[in-house]
Amino acid sequence: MEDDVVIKIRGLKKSYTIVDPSLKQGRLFKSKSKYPIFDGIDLDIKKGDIVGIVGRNGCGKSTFLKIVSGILEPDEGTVEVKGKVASILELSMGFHGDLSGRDNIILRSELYGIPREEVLEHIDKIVEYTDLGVFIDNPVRTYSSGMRSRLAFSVMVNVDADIFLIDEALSTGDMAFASKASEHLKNLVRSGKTVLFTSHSMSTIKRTCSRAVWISDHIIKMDGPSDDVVDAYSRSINDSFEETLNLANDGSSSAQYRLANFYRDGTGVEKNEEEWKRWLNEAAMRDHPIALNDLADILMSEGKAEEALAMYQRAAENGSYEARRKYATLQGETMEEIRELRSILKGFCDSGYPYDFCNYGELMLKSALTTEDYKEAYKYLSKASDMGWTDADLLLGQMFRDGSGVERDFTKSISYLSKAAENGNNKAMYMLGDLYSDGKYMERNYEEAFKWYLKSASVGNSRSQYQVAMMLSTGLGVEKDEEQAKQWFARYSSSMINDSRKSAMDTLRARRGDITLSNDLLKAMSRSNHPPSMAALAMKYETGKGFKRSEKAAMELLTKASVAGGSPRVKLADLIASKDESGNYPQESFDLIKSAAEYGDAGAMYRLALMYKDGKGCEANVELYRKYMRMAMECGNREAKDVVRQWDARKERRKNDKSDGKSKNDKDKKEEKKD
Amino acid sequence: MINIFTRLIQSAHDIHANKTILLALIRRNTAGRYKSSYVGFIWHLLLPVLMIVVLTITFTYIRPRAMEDFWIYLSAGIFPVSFISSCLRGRAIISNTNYITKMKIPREIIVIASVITEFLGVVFAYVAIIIVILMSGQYVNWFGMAMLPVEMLLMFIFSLGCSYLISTITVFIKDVGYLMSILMRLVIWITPTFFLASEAKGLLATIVWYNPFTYYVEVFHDILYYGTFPHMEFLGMSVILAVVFFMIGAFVFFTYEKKFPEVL
Repeated sequence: MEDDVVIKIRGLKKSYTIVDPSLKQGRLFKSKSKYPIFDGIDLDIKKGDIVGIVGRNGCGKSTFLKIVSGILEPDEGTVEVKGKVASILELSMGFHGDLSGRDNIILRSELYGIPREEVLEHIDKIVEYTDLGVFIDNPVRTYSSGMRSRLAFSVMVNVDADIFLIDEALSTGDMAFASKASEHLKNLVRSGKTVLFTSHSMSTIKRTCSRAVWISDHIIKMDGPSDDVVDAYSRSINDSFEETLNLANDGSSSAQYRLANFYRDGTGVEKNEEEWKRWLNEAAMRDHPIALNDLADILMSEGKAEEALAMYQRAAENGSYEARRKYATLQGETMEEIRELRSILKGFCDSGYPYDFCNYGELMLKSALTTEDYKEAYKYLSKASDMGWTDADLLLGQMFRDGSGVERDFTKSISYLSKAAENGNNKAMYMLGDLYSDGKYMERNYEEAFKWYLKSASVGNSRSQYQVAMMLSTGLGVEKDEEQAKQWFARYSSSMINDSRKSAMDTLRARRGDITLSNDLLKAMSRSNHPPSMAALAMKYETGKGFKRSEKAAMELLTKASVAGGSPRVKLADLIASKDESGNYPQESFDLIKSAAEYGDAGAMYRLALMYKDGKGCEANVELYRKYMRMAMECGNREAKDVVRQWDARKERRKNDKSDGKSKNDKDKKEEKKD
Repeated sequence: MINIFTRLIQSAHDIHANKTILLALIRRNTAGRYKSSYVGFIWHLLLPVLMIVVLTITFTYIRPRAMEDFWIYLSAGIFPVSFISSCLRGRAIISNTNYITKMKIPREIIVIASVITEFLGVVFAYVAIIIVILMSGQYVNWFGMAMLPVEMLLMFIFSLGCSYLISTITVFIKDVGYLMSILMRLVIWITPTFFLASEAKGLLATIVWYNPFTYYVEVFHDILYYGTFPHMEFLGMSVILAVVFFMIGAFVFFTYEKKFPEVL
């Protein structure tokens, strides 16, 4: 055995004999068969490891500890253990109810093989550790279960061994004692002992262990850093119907809520509306905020407004933001206002523009009271998304991530968010980074997370800049690079004060102050990858205002800035076009302007409209010209407004000319009304 | 097939190494028993004395027997019989599953601890009886009395062997445990405790002399009631039975003890 390996397991196989219901059963004698628990396990545990063992009930966690401790013998394979083993397989076992806590400490210690004299020597220390006060001299039968486990753990503190095996450690006892106990385990490890323990508390394992082993399907399914193993295990539990059912029956409200959703969506089980409502009720009884909210939604759709209101209130009190909003809406009687706004925005949707779809969809999402509302929001947002509207992609990504109104689906969420992020939406970029690095919902992927954080950071998102810096300095998802990390830290701290720089610049401009100073400030902002500043600086380079004229520098800055935002793209397009000498309008410029328009930049829309009119970089197209011109106007472009006003004036005139001017379509009519 | 002799030597080492645990188990079995009572430990001595008083009242006033000092005859027999029969109930392992399945200790310690616990009962009872005998001025044969510890030891070994055997079987076949506790109620009537061995006639006599308990009880009768040196045939049978049952019991126990944690 190598020096630091204290437990070495090779090819461990173990099976139990169980009554097999699939065989014919006699009355007197039961037919039995072998049930494998372990089917070939290899494991090395090093000195000083603190290892958490996780797995479902009955997966063999306790059996594993029993085999390591030597209570059970393996059927096949070898288990080599170096050092003295203390197996504390059930902390609260074997107390004598009539004896006092103190006597039980002595008895327990002796059962662990500590001679009586030695126990008596340390008894005061142990008694103090239990924190039981006057109860220590009262019979143990008067103790609560928490007190019993405190007593039991305290005995363990005095046990001297090299390897500690603890089953269901730290699962009872109050929080203060649990942290004291977990601290003790860490101390043991620091002093060179080895600890193996099982627990159903994932947070305990994450907090206490450096390493975790997940036993499933008779083998070690995963072995690695405790965070990763626990996350993977929790995910498998959350996705498994049977396990959720177990937990739900045990009274876990979050499991009950998940189970309700399984029944609603038919994942892993047949759809069943009654069961859905039943479990929702169960979860709501335990004050699960989202369950309360969903239940209120159901009541609302059944027309029981009074009850729904009370339910929303309970959900809101338990911390559901959605319920707070709904409660406030209902209580503040703003529903009428919202309905009005809804009908206005819905009216705009007749235009067929993605812009309008997205606006209406967003309002529906934000003001949704019933599942119907969510469906409506989803419908319009997907319409907008199909037409390539970036904001809609972002909102859809959020909907799928949070499961609001739709079934949670991270694949879909990621695909929508990626689409938005590819189009330069910064929020989508760092949301993707968060999704990949969180590990709560899907497997952690630090490489992907880094990729998105980096994208977002390079267009000036300060939060992402910090993430990138941290990942670079710890080497998470990317090769460790202290130099680069330093740069990103600098950018992060620099972008924190951009607002103040901006105010300083404004003041300088207003007071006709020092232009060089103002330019220096702009440069500093641009260095922290602030897209508008980069664009502004680029324009200065291009025109040579206060700077040495440099088209190359301008181009570089604009290319960088154009990853995010619309207007830098337009400027970049212009710069490319102005440098082009072939006489034709370059395709690249056209694409840039188009993407800026889709991104929602009103100026770009106006430009795009003009290009469709003149056939610059594309085929001339009157339809599209009109469409984009109107969109630009609606998004607030002043030049476009003038153009559209002229059209309308012309129409008005024509209408006056022809008394039977009914030939216009409905769309125009509406716009006239609005004007 | 295990080598029972090397296994027994190893077992002796294990017991020695874990004597703290053995003592703790015995203390656990005895200490808690009268813990919350007022006189506590005194009950260990008081109970056999009260038992003797009750039996004496019964056989002097309620069902008088034409025998001198019948209470000595009775109490010399009744305590060993109840000791052996409690060892034969075979509950040593199944009532201590926690120690088998959750702790890594030599498993024979649990059986030994439970036999010793019961044995202490006989010791206390005999201490009480001897005190009463001495106080009431009965004749005492000191040569015979010297054989008392030897016979007690033989009885201990015999019972330990039986306990090994029955408690092992009970782990695998629970029914044996229930059967034994019924049989042990019968034992008191087929062992010369309430009657003299010579009074048994016919079938009963055959059963009585096939019953291994009889030989131990008769030795105690010789020593305490008749005040003689025990008959050699009874002593000889005590030795043979102790050795045979101990070896059989130990063999069965050590062959199957590894399976205990899986079955329990």
